[in-house]
Amino acid sequence: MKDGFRQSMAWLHTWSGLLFGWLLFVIFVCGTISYFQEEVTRWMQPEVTTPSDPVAAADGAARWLAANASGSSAWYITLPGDRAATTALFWTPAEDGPAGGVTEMTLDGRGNPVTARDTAGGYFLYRFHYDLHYLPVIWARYLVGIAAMFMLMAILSGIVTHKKIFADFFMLRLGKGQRSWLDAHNVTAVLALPFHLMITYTGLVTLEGQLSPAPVAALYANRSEFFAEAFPVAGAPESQGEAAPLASFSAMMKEARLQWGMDVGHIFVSRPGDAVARVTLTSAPGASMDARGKMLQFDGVTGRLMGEGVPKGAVQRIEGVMIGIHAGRYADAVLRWLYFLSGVGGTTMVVSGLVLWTVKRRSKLTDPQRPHFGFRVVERLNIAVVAGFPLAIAVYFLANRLLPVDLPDRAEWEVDCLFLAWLGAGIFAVLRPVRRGWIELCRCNALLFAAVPLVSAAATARNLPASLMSGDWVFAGFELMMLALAFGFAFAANRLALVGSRHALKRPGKREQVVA
Amino acid sequence: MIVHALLLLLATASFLALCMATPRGAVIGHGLARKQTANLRPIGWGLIALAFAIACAWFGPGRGVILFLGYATVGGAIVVALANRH
Amino acid sequence: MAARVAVIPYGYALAALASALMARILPTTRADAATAGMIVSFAIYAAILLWAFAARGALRLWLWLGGVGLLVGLLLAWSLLAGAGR
Repeated sequence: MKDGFRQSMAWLHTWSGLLFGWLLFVIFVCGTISYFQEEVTRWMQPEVTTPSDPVAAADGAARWLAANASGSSAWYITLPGDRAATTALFWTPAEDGPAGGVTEMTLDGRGNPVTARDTAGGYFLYRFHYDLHYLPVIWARYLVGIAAMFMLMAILSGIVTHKKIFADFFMLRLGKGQRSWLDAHNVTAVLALPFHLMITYTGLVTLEGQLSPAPVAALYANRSEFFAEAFPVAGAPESQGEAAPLASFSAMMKEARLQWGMDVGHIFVSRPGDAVARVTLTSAPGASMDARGKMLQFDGVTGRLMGEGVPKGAVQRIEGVMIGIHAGRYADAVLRWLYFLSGVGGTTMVVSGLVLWTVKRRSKLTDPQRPHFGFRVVERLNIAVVAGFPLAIAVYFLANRLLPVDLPDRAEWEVDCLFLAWLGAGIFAVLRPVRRGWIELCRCNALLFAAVPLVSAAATARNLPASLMSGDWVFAGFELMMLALAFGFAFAANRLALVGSRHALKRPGKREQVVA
Repeated sequence: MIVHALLLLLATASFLALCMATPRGAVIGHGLARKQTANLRPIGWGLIALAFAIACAWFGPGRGVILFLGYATVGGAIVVALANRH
Repeated sequence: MAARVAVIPYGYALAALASALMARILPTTRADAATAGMIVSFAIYAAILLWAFAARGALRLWLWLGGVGLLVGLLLAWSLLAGAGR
């Protein structure tokens, strides 16, 4: 080990970054979109238009559950907030009921089942950013956790290697050609450094139970004992077999608002319809930085306030805030956009880092006509992921508008379309010459993203001009973002084509070299 | 909303001052005499501290810190773009 | 480099031991102590990895790693055997 400290750190940075760069890109893209997952879901369910009032939604949910989920011992109700338009229900099946029945439902603001097209919406992209798809969730989370740890190492070693960047940051002269990738990497890394560190570390914290099981194992006989102690779910006492109707939620919600000064986000009902029923209200995710919010418990029959949820320890509150800062559910519109911009910065950092790996090595290749296998793999994977995954997302949105509304398993089909498109883009990336592959996929992305608002206008009753006129910023914002992405990809494709032709002009006869 | 605009303005102005205090950053303020640039560094840091204080006072220490960092990121990006506009 | 890459699995084990030990000796509630151990474990792991890649000689690095591992392991074992109540 003769290599010095800086070289050692540079090595760590290069390889920890490369090994998980592609996975990190996908995580960053989906994670960034997840800051607007409710809005994406609303765009993907154009039939749902009724704005909802939380109290009316809660009472509507209680009516629906009483009629359709009889015998259930627990109801979980997620109320629509400022951003979502629907109420999500989940309940435990009745003990004597049929096995494998439906246990979840989405209601509109009036308490009627949503008849919109079946879609996983923005929620799929959110889940994909840590649960991935087509593989067991446990494995996926290990993979994502390892990627996050590598990311943390890439950030820390990057800081150590390039200490001077911070002192000389404003000396950066954005270069042309190969240097510009290094500059883009440095600028996005340094500018959003607090975000990168925060998002990586708190991301690890969200998965800590699985990634770091040792502390719990050292203190508890088993995991469920820990969960029972750390997150006591305030359930109802044993039933005496005496039935009693559930009190209305509206008075409880009024009381909760009075105590917290915040809206109610979740309702948990234990033993509904029984004389011992308990109702636990949790504050809305937009109301507090602590991801777990505040709790109040009520007697389910009389509606009498019984107390606060069990107070949590200081460290658990810190943990809740760390998770809250990661997910950003507490953020208002302005802060949400700042989160989004930082996420875009992180995505750019990952992309420029990946491209930089090939750019730096291309000039050192012994035979540029025939690069070694590893180099070719990295080059192709870069195209397949960096240009291919956005293509897949555009197709996901298009599939939402184009698949027949009554298609069975429609939500799964949308997701399958995403992965089929990604597979297609990957095959394309392998078959085409490298530079052509980049340009053509970027053009394709520009077309597909531009098509999203057009197809939507043709396939639904809504369209961009109308949304703009009526001030519907969820729809207008989504579709304007699609157009911005289309412009971005068209611009990138033109730049790539321009740079390539300039090379060809300057060095006639060497075009093949550039292409290879 | 005015507070948001003020924070963005302060963040941008502070980085602009810090940037102009560097030899390379003189690109932006090429008319400035050396005496004038000497004060830019403390002015820049002062403006950053001011933005931080306003964010924390207005939005509370939790949200304030996050918002401050967000605006610092955007302000820095604006200054980098300005310094490289050629 | 192989001597350093080998720290990736070893460092994880060491961080697990250290965070478990920390959880056992923190004078808070059990739930808080376990949570603190989990939160800090990633920082411990990152510190071990950075240190491993920064250290000079492979032999000295592994002597240190082995020594610290032994110490932490012994302390944890003692804590587990002695503090049967927790």
